[in-house]
Amino acid sequence: MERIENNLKEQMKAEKTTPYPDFDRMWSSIQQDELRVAARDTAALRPRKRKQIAIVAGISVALMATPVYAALSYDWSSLLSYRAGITNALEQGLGQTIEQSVTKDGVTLTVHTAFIDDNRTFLLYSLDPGSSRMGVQAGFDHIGMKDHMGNPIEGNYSHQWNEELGVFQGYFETDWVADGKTADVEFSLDNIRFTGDGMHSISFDPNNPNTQEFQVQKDGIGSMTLQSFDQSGGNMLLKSAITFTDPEMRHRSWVRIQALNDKNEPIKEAETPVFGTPGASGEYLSQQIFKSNSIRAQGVQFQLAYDRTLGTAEGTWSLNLALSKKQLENGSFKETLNIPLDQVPGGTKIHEMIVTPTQVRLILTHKEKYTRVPYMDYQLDVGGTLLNGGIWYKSGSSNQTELRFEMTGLDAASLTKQPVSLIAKHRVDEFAGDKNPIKLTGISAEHQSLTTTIAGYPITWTYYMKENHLYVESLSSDPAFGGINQTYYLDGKDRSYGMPAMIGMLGNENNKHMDVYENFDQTELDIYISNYTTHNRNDALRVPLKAGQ
Amino acid sequence: MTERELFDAYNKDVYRTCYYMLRNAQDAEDLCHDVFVTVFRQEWRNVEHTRAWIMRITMNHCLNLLRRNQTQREKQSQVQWLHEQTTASVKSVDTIVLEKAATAEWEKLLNQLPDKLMAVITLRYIGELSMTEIAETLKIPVGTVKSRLHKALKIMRKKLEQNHSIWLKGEKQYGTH
Repeated sequence: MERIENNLKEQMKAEKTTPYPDFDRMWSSIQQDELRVAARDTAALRPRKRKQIAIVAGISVALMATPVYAALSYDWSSLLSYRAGITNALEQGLGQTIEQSVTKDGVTLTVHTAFIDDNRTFLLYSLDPGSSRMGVQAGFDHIGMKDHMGNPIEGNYSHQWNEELGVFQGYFETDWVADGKTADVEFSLDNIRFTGDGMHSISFDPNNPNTQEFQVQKDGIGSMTLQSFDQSGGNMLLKSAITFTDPEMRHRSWVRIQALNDKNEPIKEAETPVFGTPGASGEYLSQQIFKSNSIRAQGVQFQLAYDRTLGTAEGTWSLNLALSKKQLENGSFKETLNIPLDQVPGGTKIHEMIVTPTQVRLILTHKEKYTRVPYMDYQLDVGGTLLNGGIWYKSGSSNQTELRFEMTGLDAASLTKQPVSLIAKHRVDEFAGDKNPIKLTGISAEHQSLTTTIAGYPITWTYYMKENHLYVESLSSDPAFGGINQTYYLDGKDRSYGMPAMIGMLGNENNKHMDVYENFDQTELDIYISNYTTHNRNDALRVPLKAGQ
Repeated sequence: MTERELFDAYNKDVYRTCYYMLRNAQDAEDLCHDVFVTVFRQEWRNVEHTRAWIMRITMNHCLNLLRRNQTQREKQSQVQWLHEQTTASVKSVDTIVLEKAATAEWEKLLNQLPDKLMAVITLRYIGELSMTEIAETLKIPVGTVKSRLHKALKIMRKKLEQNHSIWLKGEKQYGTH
């Protein structure tokens, strides 16, 4: 090994192995870069491909504004995978460099870069927990900003642990937008809570269809009930309901059932699980669907897994920031469109387009409150480049829906020149059910089935009694049928709705639904469909928003 | 020390580090330029361990550019080496051919090293940084520096063995074939 080391050293260090560039020319160029304005005019002194100039110029802009050289070594790309527009702006050196830190009790909060425009305010931060880190994950009791009047500005945050740098890298994002070009704000976070994995094994029997109850009584968790339901396609649905002794745990525990195979490896769910829907008396309800044979196999063990608080660093970490829109101003513009969207119900118009270097927003207005825009996928076509987007419902504005598109592979200026169209795909419509009753007869613990149709879609109903409750499941073999949202029976003229016992996601592939009628004591029941949805996956709407120049 | 003296003292090591890390002469040149611009913007005269500090800035620049270029680089074919300067020297043709072959082989093998290992060996052999300084630069434990260095050497040895290189003659552990 020693010889190889010497050889390698010799090879890497040897003058002759590396053809060097013209250092004299480089020197004069370095000197010119010192005079920044002059440097731009003399860029031709260093001949190279246009593309490379763009990349390196971007870096040197970032360098100029960065007093701490180490700050550049942060890689934000994985954190920002759903905020591609910020990555885009970061790469173009468009963020406002902040690099302000506050250290308290050995914990350092640093705000690195801010992005302030007419759509949102976005901060990149890192949190160095020093020696106080007590768990893999960390959360805050509160994170947010205050404007110069002290009014709170709420938003959302996300962060990831960076093992190599020993810091949490995160972002704080809010829809709050500064009125003027600059704004003085205070950014702060309260009480850092470090969490790790908590486990509690349970003696759950997947072959017992009855409700099984387990006492946990630790880490703020009280007890749990767990029920299994056989599903079509060889699946098994596990429904859990958890009660907490510490109500705070509801928001930060992420309690879930883990099934471990005979090698002690977690068994993956067969479908996307749903966690933490609130129950009628405040329980934390979850549904997880597994392959039956995988969890009925020999040697499978069950446990409750959750996030457990391992320690807290108490206090407030706060920074006063002078935010400026200057960096993102260039290329930002608003355009009033008022294009009627007749394909969408509720008197919908595309009212306005707001463009910034990080994001494009289309503001849709509706005459009717709570109008649902019936498409699942949205894209913006900017002269052939497609930006992916999604729908955002803003609380407090029931007459408005937003479509947001993260800017990638484009600069904002191209939106002024290129033709822009909105593309909406995969239409999902919602309809009211009809007046035809579904007649459930001979109701017993035995599973029974019948088939009906609504608007030509076949629906298979399965119903049975389990622990004094009537369960009614519906499923359609037609993939164009989106599912029933709820069923009801008539009590005189009043509708009595079944309780959804399964959470469905609008627009997903699964059209199965399950309702439960609790404490049911009869053998017959006529039920009705409240609402149902249909898919039109090939429906694509294209709306030209502006012509190119 | 003047800025020019600082530049002359470190430009080759900075360039070479960039070159080995980026495997691309144009990027290495651009980055070398930016490293010195960055250095001169700071209070470099007050820095105690100038060499380690400059190498650290260099490595940070390299790692940043690598992250940006990751996808582009994957598509690129291996670097083409130009030996204008070698051929311009006074060596005999035979020597040049021999050196070229050996050098090209080393380059090829070095180019196959993962970035993480490359970072450790360039800091060690070009930057001449201590294990502790490398650990600080890359923000990894000293133990990890040692194991990456060892791993890099092991990989190089293995690759050279496979290529039956003349470079291995006399290597104690040679002879596994």
